[in-house]
Amino acid sequence: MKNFMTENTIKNINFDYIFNEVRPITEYGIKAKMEAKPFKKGQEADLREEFSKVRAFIELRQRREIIDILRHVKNISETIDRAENNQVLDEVELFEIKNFLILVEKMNKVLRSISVENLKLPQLTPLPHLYELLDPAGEKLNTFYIYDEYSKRLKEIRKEKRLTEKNIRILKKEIKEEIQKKHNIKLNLKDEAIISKSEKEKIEELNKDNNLRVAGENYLNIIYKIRNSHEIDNLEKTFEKLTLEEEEEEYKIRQNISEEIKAHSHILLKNTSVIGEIDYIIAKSNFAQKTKSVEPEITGDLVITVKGGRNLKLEETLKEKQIEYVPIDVSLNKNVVCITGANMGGKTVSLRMIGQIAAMASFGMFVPCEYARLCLFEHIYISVGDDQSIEKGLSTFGAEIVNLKEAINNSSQRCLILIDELAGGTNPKEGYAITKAVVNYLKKKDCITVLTTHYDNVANDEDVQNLQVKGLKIPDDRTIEISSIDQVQKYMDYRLIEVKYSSDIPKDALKIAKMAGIHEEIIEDAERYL
Amino acid sequence: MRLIETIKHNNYETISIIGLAKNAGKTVTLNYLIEEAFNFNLRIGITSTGRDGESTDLVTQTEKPPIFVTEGMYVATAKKALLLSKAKTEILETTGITTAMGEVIIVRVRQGGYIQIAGPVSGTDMKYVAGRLKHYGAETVFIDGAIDRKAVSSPVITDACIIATGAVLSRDIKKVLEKTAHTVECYTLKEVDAPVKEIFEKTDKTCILKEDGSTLVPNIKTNIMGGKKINTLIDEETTHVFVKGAITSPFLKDLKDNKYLRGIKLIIEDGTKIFTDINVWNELKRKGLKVETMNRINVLAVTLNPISPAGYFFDSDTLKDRMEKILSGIKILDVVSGGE
Repeated sequence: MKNFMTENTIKNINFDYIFNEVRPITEYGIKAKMEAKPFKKGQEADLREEFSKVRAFIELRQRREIIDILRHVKNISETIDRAENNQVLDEVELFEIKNFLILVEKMNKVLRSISVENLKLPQLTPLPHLYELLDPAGEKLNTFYIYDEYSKRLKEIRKEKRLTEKNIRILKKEIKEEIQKKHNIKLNLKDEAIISKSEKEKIEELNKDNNLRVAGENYLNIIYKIRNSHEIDNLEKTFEKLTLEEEEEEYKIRQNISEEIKAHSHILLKNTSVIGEIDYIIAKSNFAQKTKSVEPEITGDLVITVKGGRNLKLEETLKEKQIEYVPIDVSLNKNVVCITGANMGGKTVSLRMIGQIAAMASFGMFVPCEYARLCLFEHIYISVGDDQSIEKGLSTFGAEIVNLKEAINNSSQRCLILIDELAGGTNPKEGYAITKAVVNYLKKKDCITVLTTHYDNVANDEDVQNLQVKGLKIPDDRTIEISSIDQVQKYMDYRLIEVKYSSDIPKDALKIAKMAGIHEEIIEDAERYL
Repeated sequence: MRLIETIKHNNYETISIIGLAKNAGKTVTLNYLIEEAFNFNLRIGITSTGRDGESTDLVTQTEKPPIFVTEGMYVATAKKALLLSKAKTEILETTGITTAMGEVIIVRVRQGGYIQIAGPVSGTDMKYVAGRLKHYGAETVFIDGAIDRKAVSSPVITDACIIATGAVLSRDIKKVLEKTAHTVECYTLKEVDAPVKEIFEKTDKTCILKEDGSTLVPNIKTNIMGGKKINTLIDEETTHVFVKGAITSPFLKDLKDNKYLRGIKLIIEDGTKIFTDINVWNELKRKGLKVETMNRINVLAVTLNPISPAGYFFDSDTLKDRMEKILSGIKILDVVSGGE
């Protein structure tokens, strides 16, 4: 992405916000998103295909079903990696592979049920053979256990183990009952009895019993515990031996399954990336629907036409302040477009909106407007006054020049260059000269350059398209006082109107100053200088 | 009625087992309940409150001794603990909840054996896990709660609790009785009247309630520091003081000399929020302070371990008799010497 847009550009057109809001569910989806590359000039057909997938999922009822499946998908990359490195997978990992296979099977069914003409969705590869290996009893449950069915030997070991355990229990119970009866004492859960030392006769009696041993002693009491008989000892040894054998057998079984998983690892991995791809497309569909975005028309011609365009971040910010965002129409049909007009007339907002829509389209997303037709770019640049570089210590002019240089360096390729008030902070004479020269240079390039300016005569050129903000909509004879500068927007008409050879740029700055309540004396004085 | 029958009879879905100290016999209690559940045909699930960085304890087995689980039980434990277990289990779900010991896994026991249990760390996660254990078929879920992690097994999450206490608390049997009785008293305080409870649920902040129903929220950062401020705000019109969070000795001391003490009720969130010295607590009560709770904790039983690992022990019958005398109405069980 860096090569396509600089970090500053991403921030200034609020693409970081957009990217954050597109939220795939699975880790594979997030990976697909992070690795997404912009569609560039020449890839128009590919992008159209991508759009058809986004559109399909907006319309398809299967989207819900797939989302439900995606919610259960876990990241098994590490497990696959371990299998590939000949590690023996543990039960939890085998459980996760089994569940993954079940989900792939389910999702595959849903995907195959989708039939839309000319729609080429990536396809999953179910692995029924591998699944059967993880469900040897054919239970069709999404749980996992090293089932008895894995081997005859395992089944036998376990049967014998159970029997041995049972015999031990019976024998122990017999001895316990016998001792309790014989000595009239009560043994606890740990088969222990605590006897006070004052009961000398009892102690003597118990000491003689071969089935008891002293397990502990203090100054008051002696703790007796049941001594295992030889028979029990032998049974316990057998039990331990069986346990070891069982574990060995289980290990072998896990080893076998792990090898099979390794043999299918490339298909498993392919499936994870298909899931990621679908997940990312659905995330884009969800976002398009949420933001009322539309599919843009992609063309090879050097144009950008937007009807009712919105910058989503700005719209969101304004919504929090309960201010309505005014959608803007633009139709850029020359290589260089100048936006002129009133201060506070939304010129910078329009630049950000254009940048955002172009970037979103490039990344295969629907765009927030009513209609859009545009071409693909190799690079997108924006330079605005509140650029982050200023925080890094560069002056406004310094930051502008650095951005401009970068844009011009790449202008041999198709770029979208957005410049806010070029050299606006420097002296008007030089500022005008630089702006005019940049315009002259860029109008010969296969790029779209949009710049906002206050200088007269920059747009006064046959090869330059001039869009003007309609400006304040108050009759000259009326006086309006506002208490907060935010209220200016109530009287502002943000629409952009194409004008020709207009050397007279509207002077709304004074009107706004007047509305905001600047001393009349100053206003009157200023009017004299105009 | 045996303890397990009471549990079955009342359909308690979640029960926490809280040990008042290490070696108070919590594990023995749990093992006892498992055996009883097996005998009485109650399908149970178990988990425990995990703690961050517990792995070392688990390796040395000082903190969480393994529990013997039987076929058909449901268990939620961290992956590392699970893979070390001797019991054979069927994996039902990987919860996505992570702990220092790995992800919490929900299993069904296929072959009995010992297993180490290290469950979720947070209350929300615990609630989820207990819910899943029930979902898979556990009729009652036991939560092995740690004394310093009471919040995770607090009454917000469980229906009832069992307190494990024992000789380890003190060489002086009186102290053991006193500490245990204090805990039970705090847990089972009278619940505040519904209309007042509603008011405090709404404010959800430490505040003072007046006769006319108005509340006053003092500007304090912590209760420990806020005692003085609250003390000055209490007047003849004050009826209740609700404290959200911990009640500590310094806090109570600040209220000690308040002349309106007899006229007010101190309302706490629940008994696990009381961390006061017993003497300070008793002094305030002597002076006429009435304490009530927002959430009464249902104490089902107190289990005793008369043996201390330090080498001394009390006579089982004596301990049990004396405990029964001060905690009348609560079931007392010496699980170490044989249970019911």
